[in-house]
Amino acid sequence: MSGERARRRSIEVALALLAAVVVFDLAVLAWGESPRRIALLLAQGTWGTWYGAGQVLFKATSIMIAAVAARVALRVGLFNIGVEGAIAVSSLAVGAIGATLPSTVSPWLAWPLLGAVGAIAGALWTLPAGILRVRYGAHEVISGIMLNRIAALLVGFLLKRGLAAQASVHTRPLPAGATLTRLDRVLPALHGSAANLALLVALALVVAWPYLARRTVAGRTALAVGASKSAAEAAGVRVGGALLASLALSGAICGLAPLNDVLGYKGYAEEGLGLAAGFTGLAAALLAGESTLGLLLASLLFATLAQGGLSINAHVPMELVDVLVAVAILFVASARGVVARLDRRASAPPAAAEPGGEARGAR
Amino acid sequence: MSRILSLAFVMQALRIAMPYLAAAMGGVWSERAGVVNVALEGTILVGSLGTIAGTLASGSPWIGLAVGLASGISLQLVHALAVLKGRANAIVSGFALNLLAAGGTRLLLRALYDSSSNSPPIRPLAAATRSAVVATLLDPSTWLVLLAVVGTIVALARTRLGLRVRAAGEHPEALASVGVSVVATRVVAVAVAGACAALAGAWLAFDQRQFSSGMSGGRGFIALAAVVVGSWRPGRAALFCLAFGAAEAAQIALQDAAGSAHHLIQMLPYVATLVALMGVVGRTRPPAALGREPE
Repeated sequence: MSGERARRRSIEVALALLAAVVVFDLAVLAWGESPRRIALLLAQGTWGTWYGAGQVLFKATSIMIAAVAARVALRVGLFNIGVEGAIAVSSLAVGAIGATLPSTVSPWLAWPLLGAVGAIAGALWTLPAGILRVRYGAHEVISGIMLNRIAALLVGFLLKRGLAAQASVHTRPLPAGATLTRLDRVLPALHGSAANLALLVALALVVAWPYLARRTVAGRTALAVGASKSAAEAAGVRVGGALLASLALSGAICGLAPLNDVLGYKGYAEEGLGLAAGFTGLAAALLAGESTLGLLLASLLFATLAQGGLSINAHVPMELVDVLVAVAILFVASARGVVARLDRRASAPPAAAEPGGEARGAR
Repeated sequence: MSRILSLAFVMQALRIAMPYLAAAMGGVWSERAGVVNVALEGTILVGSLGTIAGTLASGSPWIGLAVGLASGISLQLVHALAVLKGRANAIVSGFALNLLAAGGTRLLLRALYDSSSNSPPIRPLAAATRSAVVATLLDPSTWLVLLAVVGTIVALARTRLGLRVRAAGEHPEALASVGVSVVATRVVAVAVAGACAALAGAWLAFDQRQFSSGMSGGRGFIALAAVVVGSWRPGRAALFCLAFGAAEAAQIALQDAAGSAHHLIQMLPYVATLVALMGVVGRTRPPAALGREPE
């Protein structure tokens, strides 16, 4: 992204986030609370304590993984709305297979094995959307939505039909050797928070992706396909193969999310575990554009809000934070059009800007 | 088998299909005009809460219905504003609005009724009768849904507005060339979509007689599936809604025999959509300018 465009985009995002905060503060005022007090509480409950910071990092881990997955697909111009379904299915696969490992299993065998299980499950679950797109021209968003719904129902069905431990709604617990080490083993201050080694996996993905995308043949090919399918085709790129590979890679990355939620947090798989990161990750990827730093900041922002909701719940409903997140996504998504409109209005004399609504509408 | 072929079964299938029918008509209006709409789910939710809150506040279910429809239209107008004026990606806007509706209705539930799960109950719209069949037939909200279906089929095919909406979704440049605003046409279509999806919510509200958090339960996505499987045509989409309703009614009727098949029956609309996208049962063709801005 050129410097000018990046600068413009950051101004748009900043304005949109500011507007979302204004909406949030108005809602807090309507509730009869002081916005300053609530903001302070939100900050204290997240970055104000070691435990809060650890929880933010734990939530940011899943969001970062989902965001990189979304970004991989966006690179070829695809919208992988199926992140949520891929996380659901791979979590169950990791939980179910992890539970069958012997109790003496070594972490150095269990971690890569379960990572691979998740990645394969995620890739396989995402492939149908790719095949439908490449072979039949079906929009990946529609098939993605349908696959998400099927995934949720399938996970429920399989848990009920034998994958859940007796008299419970989750899989049997993983052996101790398969669980990922919590960060509080290294940093005792984080005690009680669920932040774990999966954070390093997520950070590695975030940092490695720009390198893969810019410096490798596959990455440049993906960019060419994303920019123009027909031009890439003319240059000899097998566009269908590139689309399929990107979606499969995106799904495989989703399949690493269970490292955080199953191996690092719960120790088993259950319905709904870690799914919230699906759409939030996509939102973070869109908010960040091509910027790596932006992706980190966006993931931390959404994770902070998710954790902060818990700390303000005694004073204002935590649902206010959901509203804030939704409004922020909506504003950021709309920012480009609105800013362009304001720009035009500022640079063109009003008389010239209004030559009849019809012509403008048809632009 | 006799349990499947009874009048009670048909009524049950029809009852389950009602919210799908109304919401699917909403999906048809919006998408035929060229605006991708995944916010049906949130619109149903907002329509439900609006209907309940309006009824409880005014004592009149009709005023409640009006509030419910107005709430749904407002949510969809935000979608129209974001997509058509803010040039937001319609998928992102749609999912953000679903999130807004889910969080916002829970927030209002706490603000209005100091509960995080449900509202106080309302009185039913129809007079109480002993038979469920008669109750469904007498229920005015049932007739409103049927009116929405017939109205959508007729209006899209035979009215000037319907022609403009279809043109906005197929060839917006042609519409603009005869001096009709594409944006205005799309805004109207999205507002109608809001009313239809909110009607689905109102139907649920009168059926369950209270609002409970998350009560839309994925119905907006089933409606979306029906729109796609029905190839964006209102009549066909309605038929698929009825089919999905019948499948669910069969599952309820045969529950003792099928056990946890509940999940599998619920998958049916979504699997049908994937199959339909492969072009196995006829060709599904989205509107040519779906999700595209006119040049």
